[in-house]
Amino acid sequence: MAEQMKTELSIWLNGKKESLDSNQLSHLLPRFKSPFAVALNGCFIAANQYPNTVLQAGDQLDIVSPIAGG
Amino acid sequence: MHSDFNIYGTQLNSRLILGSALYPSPALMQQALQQSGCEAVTLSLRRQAPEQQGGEQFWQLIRELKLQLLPNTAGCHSVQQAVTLAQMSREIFQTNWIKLELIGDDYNLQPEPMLLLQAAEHLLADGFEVLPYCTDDLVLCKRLYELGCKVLMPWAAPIGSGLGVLNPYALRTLRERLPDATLIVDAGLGVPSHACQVMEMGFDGVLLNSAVALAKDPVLMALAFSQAVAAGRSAFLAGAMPKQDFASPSTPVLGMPFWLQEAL
Repeated sequence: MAEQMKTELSIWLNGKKESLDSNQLSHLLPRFKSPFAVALNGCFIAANQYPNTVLQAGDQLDIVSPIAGG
Repeated sequence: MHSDFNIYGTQLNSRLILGSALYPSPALMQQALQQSGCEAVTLSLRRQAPEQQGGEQFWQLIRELKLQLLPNTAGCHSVQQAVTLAQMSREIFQTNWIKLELIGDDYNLQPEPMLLLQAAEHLLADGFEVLPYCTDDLVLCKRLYELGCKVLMPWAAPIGSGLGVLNPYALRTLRERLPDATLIVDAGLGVPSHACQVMEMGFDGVLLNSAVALAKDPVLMALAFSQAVAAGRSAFLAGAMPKQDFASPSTPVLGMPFWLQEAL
């Protein structure tokens, strides 16, 4: 498990600035509806890596879900 | 009837692949997909907006159809973007298929050929089954095929234009020069005759979205396209007659009344 840190940090969540009170990715995810996939700073984060992923100030986090496409 | 059409080994009975976007309503999308008889559908990923509930309904409807899912990397402008989106797609949709789109020009959404090759190489090495959306350029298509893309998806015209086949020579050349590649014409078709035309050329399939979704009656247009694709395929297999520049009567001349064999 990644080291937990109780602090406030600011990241870019789906393109919007957001302040978090935890640096654990897994703490942030329950607000999103399944299915979703995650990219951190433009790189894919596999689901089995969520518990080990620590966020840092200024990170860009993208959480995506299925939509229509051509 | 046995079909010899397959995408990376997955056999499909319908040679028509439809997109899931731009329909007047999710219900009409579902009806059009069903009416077309297609067995594969394209879809994509975008940032989740919890305040928007439409995404959930879309996903539910798509899953009910039990079609093969062909996720795309629409909107990507870099190799990194395309690779990351492909990896996220594979995790969500549980498929190695990826319709690789890498845009090089925002006006006509023309694929970026150099980056397309780089991204395709990367994704193939990562175990993806890559279906690159590409132009009809022979050399680009040859390079993609040599890399290991067994399925290529050249455009007929820019995405959403409905212009039909802008360069029949280029498409015919692709078919002739890459006889073993699975070639699916993707983008730019507007009416069923366009689809029939490329199927008559010997293309293996057709992928389209706007032409059905933006029709006045998408469900009926989906049926029309499926019939056109089937007709074009049958015509290709049947083999067209040779063209000639002069008339040749089809009704026998022998026995024609009103004329005499000898001059009076």
